[in-house]
Amino acid sequence: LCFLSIHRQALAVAFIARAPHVDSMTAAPTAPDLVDLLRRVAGRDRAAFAALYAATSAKLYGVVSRIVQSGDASEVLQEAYVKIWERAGDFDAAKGSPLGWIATIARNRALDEVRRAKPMYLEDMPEGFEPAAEFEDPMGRRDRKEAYAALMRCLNALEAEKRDMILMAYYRGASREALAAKYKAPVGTVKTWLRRSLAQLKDCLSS
Amino acid sequence: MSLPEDDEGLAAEYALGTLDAAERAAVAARRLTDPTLDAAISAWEARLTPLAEAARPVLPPGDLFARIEARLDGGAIVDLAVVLRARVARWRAAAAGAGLVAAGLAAALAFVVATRPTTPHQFVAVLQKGPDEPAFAMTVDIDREEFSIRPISAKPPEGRSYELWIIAPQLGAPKSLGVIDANAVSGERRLNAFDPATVRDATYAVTLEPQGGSPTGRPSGAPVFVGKLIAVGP
Repeated sequence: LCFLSIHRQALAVAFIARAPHVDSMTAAPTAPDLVDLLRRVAGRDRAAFAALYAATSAKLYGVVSRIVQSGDASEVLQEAYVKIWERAGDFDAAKGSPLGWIATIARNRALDEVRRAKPMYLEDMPEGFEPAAEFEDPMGRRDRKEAYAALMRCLNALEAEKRDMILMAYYRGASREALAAKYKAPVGTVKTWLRRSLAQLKDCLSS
Repeated sequence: MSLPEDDEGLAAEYALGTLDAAERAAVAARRLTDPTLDAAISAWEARLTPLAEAARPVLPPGDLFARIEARLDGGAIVDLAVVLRARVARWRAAAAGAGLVAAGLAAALAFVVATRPTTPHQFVAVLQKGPDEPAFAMTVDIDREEFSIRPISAKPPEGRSYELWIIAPQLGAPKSLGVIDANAVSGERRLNAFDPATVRDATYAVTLEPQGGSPTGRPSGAPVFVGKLIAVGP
C-alpha cells in the first residue's frame, strides 16, 4: 500500500553513500567466469549449469521476486533457467555481460508473467518501496562496476521523481498505470515522462 | 492495434518493462521480424543491465535447482487441471463481475480437463488482449504434435474470422495454424511442421481476418490476442 512512500532525503543520501569508488575496485577473486560457464552450458555440460545456477540464482531471484508474487517467482525462475539451458549458445560475449544476458531472460519472463496475470495495483505491493533497498554495489569485474557507476550518475542527473519512476519500473515491474496512480498523473503523461527521461538517460550515457 | 511511431521510445519502454500486456506482446512479436527494433531493444537492455547486476540478491527456495533439473530431464508430471484452476481463480478475481468471461473460463477449464493429453509434454496458453481479457484457451501436446484451441470470450465480427499464427524468430514471418472455428473446439491440427523447441517457445497470436482466413498467407493486421505456452507437464 505504501509501495511508493519514498523519503526523498533518505533516498538522496543512500544514493550518495552508494556512489561506487570505481578506482579501488578490482574483479572479485572468487567470481566464477560466467562467460566460460555459459559456453560450457551451451555444450550441454550439466556441471557447468549447476555452477552457473550457484553463481547467479540469488541475483536472478532478487530480480524476479521483486516483480512477481512469491508463489510465481520460483516458477518464473525455473522457466528462466530452463531457457538459459536451452539458449546458452545464443549468448554473445561481444554484445554484453553474461549476467546481464541471463538477468534479461529472467526479467522478461517475470514481466510477461506479471502483465498477463492481472493489472498491477499499488495494493499488490506488500511493502514500501525504497529504491536504495533494491540494489547494492555490484560484485564482479571492473568494466561492470564502471557501467554501473555511469548508469547511476546518469540516473541521478534526472529529476528525482523521474529517476524513481524508472527504478520502480525496473525493480518492481511498475507499469505506466501503476506509476500514474502513484504520481496522480494521467497515463499518457507518465508515458511522456518516461520516454523523455529515457531519452535523457541515453544521451547522458553516450556522452 | 497501432504501435507508437516512436520506436526508440517503444524499445526503451519495452526494456524498462512499463508497457501493458498487449503492447508488450505486440513488441515481442514485432521484434522477431524487425531487426532495427530488435537491435534498439537489445541496446536498451544492455544500458539498463547494470541495475539487474546490482539487484540485491534473494536466496531462492532450496529445492529449486532440483526442480529445474527435473524439467531438463523431463521429470514429474504436473497436474494440468491444478495449474489451470489456479489461473482461472486469478482471472476470476481480475474479471470480477464479468459474468460472460467467468462462464467462459469455467468452460475453458472443463475443456482443458476434458481434452487433457495423457502423454508428456503438455502445455497450455491463454491468448488475451489485456491482462483481464482471456480470449482463447489453447492446449498443446508436443509429442503428438497436436494443439486445440477454444474461444473463451472472443467472437469475431460478422463476416470476419479469427486466424491463429505461430510466431518465432527462426520461422521468419508468422505461420498460419488455421482459422479458428466460431464456436467450441477448433479441432486438432498438426504441429509437425515445427520442431518441439520452436513450438514450446513460440508466441501464439490471433488476428482478425476476412472470412475464411487471410487471403495472402500473412497476417492482415497486428495480433489482436497473444499468448505464450505454459508448461504443465514434463
